[in-house]
Amino acid sequence: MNATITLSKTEFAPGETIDGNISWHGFQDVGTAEVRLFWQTQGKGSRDVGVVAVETLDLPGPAEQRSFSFIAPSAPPSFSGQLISLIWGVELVLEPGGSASQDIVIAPRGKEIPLDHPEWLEISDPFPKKGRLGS
Amino acid sequence: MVGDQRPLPEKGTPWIMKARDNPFRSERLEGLAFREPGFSWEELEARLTAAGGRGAIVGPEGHGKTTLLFEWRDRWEAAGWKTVFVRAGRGQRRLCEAQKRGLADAEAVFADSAEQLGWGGWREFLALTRSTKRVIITTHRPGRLATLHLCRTSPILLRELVNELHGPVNDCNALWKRHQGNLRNALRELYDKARQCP
Repeated sequence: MNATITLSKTEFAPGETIDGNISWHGFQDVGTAEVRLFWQTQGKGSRDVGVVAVETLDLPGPAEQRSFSFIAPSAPPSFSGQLISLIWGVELVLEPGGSASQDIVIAPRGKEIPLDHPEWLEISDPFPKKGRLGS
Repeated sequence: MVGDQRPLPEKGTPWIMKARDNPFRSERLEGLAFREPGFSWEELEARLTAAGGRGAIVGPEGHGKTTLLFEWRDRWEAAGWKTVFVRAGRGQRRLCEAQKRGLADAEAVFADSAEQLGWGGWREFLALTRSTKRVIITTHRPGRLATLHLCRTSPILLRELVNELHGPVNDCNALWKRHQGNLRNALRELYDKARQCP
């Protein structure tokens, strides 16, 4: 049994299209098959998870190869610091049976925001014309 | 599986390790399987049957109660049981309405941190699960339901977990003692050490 996700690339700016292919073989009696775009936090504390988009595949068979696409949302952006990272991913979930996932980056310029570099504020401000605190 | 083999740095070293690369991040701790010398699922299930289908996993914080509870829930789900998992948060004296609604149709209820429920909340929980076939809780102290398993830790167990996550670390005995057997806190200390990795 094998399930795979293949993406055209792994770094995306908000609004870009995330497209790729999924395939699986050797799974008997697949009831549902979904491709999900999600984010999760990783680090020292408990984890948060958000599923942002789901594509449900009709009539999944024991072996398939299909394409999918999502639009990269504007928030939350991929970032990483000492205590917490926010990681986007695409996952294929077959019920019952198996799953596969692939980490991706969704952030301005397609680059993960490093929290130890304060200049990230300049490139990731979602409201540049409205000003920040107190302005 | 043996994880990241990099040595842990001394305190005060500048960090460069991102949270997602830290071998002691919570995602990896959650992936650790429950283990204890002499533990047997068959014996645990037999004790549950003898206790009339309801009982408690008991132990202090960071001793593996929740890990065992999750694994038990997964076993029963795989066997086709309709299960529900609820957790009483810190200071939560009663289950919230959404949690209570979920109990209605369950064949097996797994309740984490049941010691948090106050007297009234506990009586209410018992009433709501009166006809549930299986009820398993975790608590810090014995008393609420028959004790099915008392979770224990040891420096040897801590060393085994650290080996799996990262590789050998020298001071597991002292680390275990410093955290009074609380493995979660011990591994969090190692998280902080790892993030200072040069």
